[in-house]
Amino acid sequence: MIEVLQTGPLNTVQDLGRFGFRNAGVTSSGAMDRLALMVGNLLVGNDEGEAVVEVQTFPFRLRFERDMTVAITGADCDARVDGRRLPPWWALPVSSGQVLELEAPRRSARAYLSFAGGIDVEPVMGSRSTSLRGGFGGLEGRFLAANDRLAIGGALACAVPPGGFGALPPAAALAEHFPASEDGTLLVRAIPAGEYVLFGAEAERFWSQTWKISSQSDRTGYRLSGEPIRLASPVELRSHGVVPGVVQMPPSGEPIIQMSDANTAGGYPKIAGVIDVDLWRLGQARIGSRIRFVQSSVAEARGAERAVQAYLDDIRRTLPMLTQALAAMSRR
Amino acid sequence: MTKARKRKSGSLAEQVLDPATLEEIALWLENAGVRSIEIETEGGRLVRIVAGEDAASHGAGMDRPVLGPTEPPSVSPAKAPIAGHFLSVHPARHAAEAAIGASVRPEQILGFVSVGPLIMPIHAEEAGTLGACTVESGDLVGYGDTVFLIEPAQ
Amino acid sequence: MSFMQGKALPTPATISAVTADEPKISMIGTGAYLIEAPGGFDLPTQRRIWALSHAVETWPEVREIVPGVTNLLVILKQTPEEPEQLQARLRHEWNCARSVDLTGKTVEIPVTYGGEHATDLAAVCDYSGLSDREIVRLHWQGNYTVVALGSAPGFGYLHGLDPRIYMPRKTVPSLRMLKGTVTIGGMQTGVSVLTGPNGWNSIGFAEMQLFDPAKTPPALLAPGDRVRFLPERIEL
Repeated sequence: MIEVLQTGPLNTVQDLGRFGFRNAGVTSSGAMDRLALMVGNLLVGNDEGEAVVEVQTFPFRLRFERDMTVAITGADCDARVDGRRLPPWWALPVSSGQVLELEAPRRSARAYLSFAGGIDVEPVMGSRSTSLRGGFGGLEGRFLAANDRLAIGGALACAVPPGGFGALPPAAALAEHFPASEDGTLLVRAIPAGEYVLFGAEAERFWSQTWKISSQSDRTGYRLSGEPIRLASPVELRSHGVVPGVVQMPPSGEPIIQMSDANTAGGYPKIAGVIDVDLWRLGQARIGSRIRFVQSSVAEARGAERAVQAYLDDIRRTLPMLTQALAAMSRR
Repeated sequence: MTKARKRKSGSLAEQVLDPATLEEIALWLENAGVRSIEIETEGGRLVRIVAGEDAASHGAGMDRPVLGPTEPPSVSPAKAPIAGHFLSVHPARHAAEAAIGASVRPEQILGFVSVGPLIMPIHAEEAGTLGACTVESGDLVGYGDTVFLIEPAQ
Repeated sequence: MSFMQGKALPTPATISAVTADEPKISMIGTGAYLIEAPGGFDLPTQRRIWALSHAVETWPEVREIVPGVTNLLVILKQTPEEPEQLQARLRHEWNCARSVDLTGKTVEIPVTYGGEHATDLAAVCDYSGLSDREIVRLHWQGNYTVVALGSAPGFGYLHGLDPRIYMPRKTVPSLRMLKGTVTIGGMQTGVSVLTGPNGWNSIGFAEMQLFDPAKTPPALLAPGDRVRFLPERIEL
């Protein structure tokens, strides 16, 4: 068990998402930064998709009620265990009674806490992700509150070095596959979608301008503010399926990017779709920060996907070698 | 020398990082009077294997005049826990975990060694003042190499 | 996967040919393709979308399909290596698709018309020029077909609303419309499944639970089902 001692609102149990029910109006949910979730799980010896805590409001504190292994990935929250400062993207063994604290990160938005064995909440429709809108999944379909206790699944003996160890963060390990701008604006790669051509010359400004992530942004979607882009004449679309990453253009002319809790259906014109492999970066973008869309291609997206897969495979492969090498050296 | 083990099918790096192989190589090195070897794999990853801890810390001193004979014997080393690339600053941070001149506590993390996609901490073994970093960030270090010097607290 | 919302569609009962027309196929994400049928919002078009859904959901590379209102969203497990080839296959499948009439069940939903939850009934009267009694009668006498589920867990878009009581969505949505509210949105009607903001016009209330995450399948309604509203109480 772990006990939540302190939390802000909207921190939830998440996994990779709930698939197979979009046709029943059920949003997929799942971590906003799926890559951080997967790396955290691999570090503690879990399958990459185990349920974790997604922390997006701070400060957050929890107490371990038994010895276990924990990983903290995603945003650097200056994590401490009993006051001892930890690096980001870090895994370590902890003892019963120890307290983990996360402070508000200075950059990035969300941290992920993975526990060896995973969070043992009852799967609903094949997933442990919390659907806040539907009121199911995770812990009673709601966000975490102080005094909540979460069961942790049984874990195989996990050979984490006692002093802890970490993973190279994807931003560093995959830098060449995720272009960065010089001024700190997040570059988000996207492909023109269904109604793109209807925007005519206006579409140019979709790519050229820098958009700000407005305060009306959450796990459902990001509303962007900037110079509005409008259709020459309004179009009426019939209700159709929508996925995370779709960039819709409501009548206001300021785009909405659908995120992990994306509505399953929508009817606004779609100007573009963010490539899936860039969604984790968007999931770490903060309210008030700036983004720019960069026109991409399926081929480019595939290249980045392969690089991400190689990075995860490399972690999976290197981990047992590292622990064996450490064990061998400690014997000498 | 132990009996040669069955050849593994993995990559050279996997074979070299195999603990049994490591022990075997270290034993050869000791027998041959060689202090350390470096191995480069097809992937470009370097592995440095050092024979015995004494040889390692002595070796670091020999390699780096910084630790010359004038060095006070009271200085305590913080050593690389494994062979890999030294990182003075965590890749997701802008500042080192502990600044030179700062007081450090036992078990405090001072720097890192990256091994492929993973990162191991370099810990302070005792309390004191962080005196010097003897390795450039990005350089290859061997298991047991001295990376930091700590002047123990009185 | 055994835990899914069953097959997206029930087994077809009758199959008949319809004329071929070019659909619009567009990418809305690296692994998501939307096929929009040509023509109007009518049941023949919808039946052909269902036929297309049947064919595509068996493709090994497909993770989910989401039939919409005269359209189909196909979500793949991975970004395809050859997107043009995939679009060509979807187009071919549409051209082969024949109309399927789904053997849907009939669901009877008891409704309290009027009363405290029917906050938009007066506006529907104004817009249609009909009396509240007349609107309620036209609504419960309708024979409805579930066209698609979406927007919220288990919410069914119903086709078959009498054109005399079509009512555009509200420009200012209700902020906290109760789950179970019977609503009209444009040429469609439906029963809300979540309490929250809603732009459709409320004319009544139904107690029946349309979605239960613990059930298999969790949604009571499925595309092709017939829906009848039973006027249990009328409070005018």
